[in-house]
Amino acid sequence: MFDGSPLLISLRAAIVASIYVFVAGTLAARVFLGSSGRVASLIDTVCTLPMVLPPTVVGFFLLVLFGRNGPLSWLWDLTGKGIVFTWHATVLAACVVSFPLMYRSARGAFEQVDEQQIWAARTLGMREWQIFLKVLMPNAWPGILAGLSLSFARALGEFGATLMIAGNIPGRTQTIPMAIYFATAGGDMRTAWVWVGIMVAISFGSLAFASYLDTRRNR
Amino acid sequence: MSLMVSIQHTLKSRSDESAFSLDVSFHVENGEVLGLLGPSGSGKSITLKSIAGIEKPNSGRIELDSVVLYDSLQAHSLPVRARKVGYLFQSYALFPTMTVLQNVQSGIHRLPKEPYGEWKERALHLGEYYLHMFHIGGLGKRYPRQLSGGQQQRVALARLLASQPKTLLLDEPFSALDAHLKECIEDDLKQALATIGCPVILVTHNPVEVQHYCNRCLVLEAGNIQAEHQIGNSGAV
Repeated sequence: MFDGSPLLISLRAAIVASIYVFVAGTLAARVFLGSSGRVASLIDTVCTLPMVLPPTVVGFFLLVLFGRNGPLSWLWDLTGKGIVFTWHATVLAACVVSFPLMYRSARGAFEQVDEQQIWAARTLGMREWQIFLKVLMPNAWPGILAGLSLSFARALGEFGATLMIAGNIPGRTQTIPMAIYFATAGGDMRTAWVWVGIMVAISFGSLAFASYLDTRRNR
Repeated sequence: MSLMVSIQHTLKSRSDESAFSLDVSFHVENGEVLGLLGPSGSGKSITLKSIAGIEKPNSGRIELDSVVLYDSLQAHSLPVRARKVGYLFQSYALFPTMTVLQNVQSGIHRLPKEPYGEWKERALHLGEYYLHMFHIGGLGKRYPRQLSGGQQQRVALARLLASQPKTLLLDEPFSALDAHLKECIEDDLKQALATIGCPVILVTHNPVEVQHYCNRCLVLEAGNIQAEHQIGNSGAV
């Protein structure tokens, strides 16, 4: 019988990850906006690294950090359970691999905003957080949304890191890419086709949305 | 109760010959309109930006209304937000995602302990008041991109005055306007400058604008004050 749970698991993980990444990515982009120098470029590189690293390397680091006796394992021990091989691990993996897309898009969008507007806002007595919310974000909004839909698509398609840290537990951590891999490996081509179709449709939709926003921004 | 400026600044460039150094001292009284006249590269803009806090001069002291904005000896520099300096940008720098009314209200801030509703009401009244002052009362709900250049300047001026600054810095305010629009804004701007009664600096490279608006004028060249002229006309009044 066809098991639809991977769709729900994938969507939930990708949506939750996108929310985290939206907040973290835009804030990081704002904090490092306009900074230059060695430290800034190092931070920029670190923020972008998960985009180019093989996902298995990202997964390996996550396992080392969050696994049993890892330096960050205490974070999850507070809740009584480890994170490895749980649904939360799929969210964590999706966050890490999609963060660079959001960060870079947001940063690019912020850099496009006319600097005189920022100065004008300051001379008008607006505080930095007000400028962020009322001037920077609304002006950069198309670019931010484009970045958000890219990160969502990336989070949805995450495979390597997820496999390493969340495993492939049907009904709990089995996401769509995971279901495709194991269906194909098991010779169940019909199931694989269904998931491939769904995946292509969702990714196509997100990217089309992103490029629509991009053309609107450049008009 | 005036603006006192004394700043020195050196811009380093790759070739030593074109190194530029600014050294100006002047003061502007309340209600006085001071013109800064000079060609581009004479240091007008950097002087204005230093007062606003957008640029930081190497050394000097700037005092507005007996508040020290900048003092290099005490390593003191007030943040731009706290300087209460009204700066009119050449490009107006209106916020394109806000309506005209929201633009004008963006410098009207909630006072400590002021209830939210009272603040909103105050911002509405003040916003409308300043829109009417510049005869753009009917444009409050439009967006800046829907306005002509002259209307945009009126919005920028209304926004400036609504923020109730202690000094006005006008950076080439007419460079984007044609001759006809310049005339149209003249009466409104003169009246506004007369009512606000704070120190005003008008930066321009056009002597005619100085004649029209200013009481006094400093001629800048290569970072130094070359001459000072009293202008006998009615100026802002």
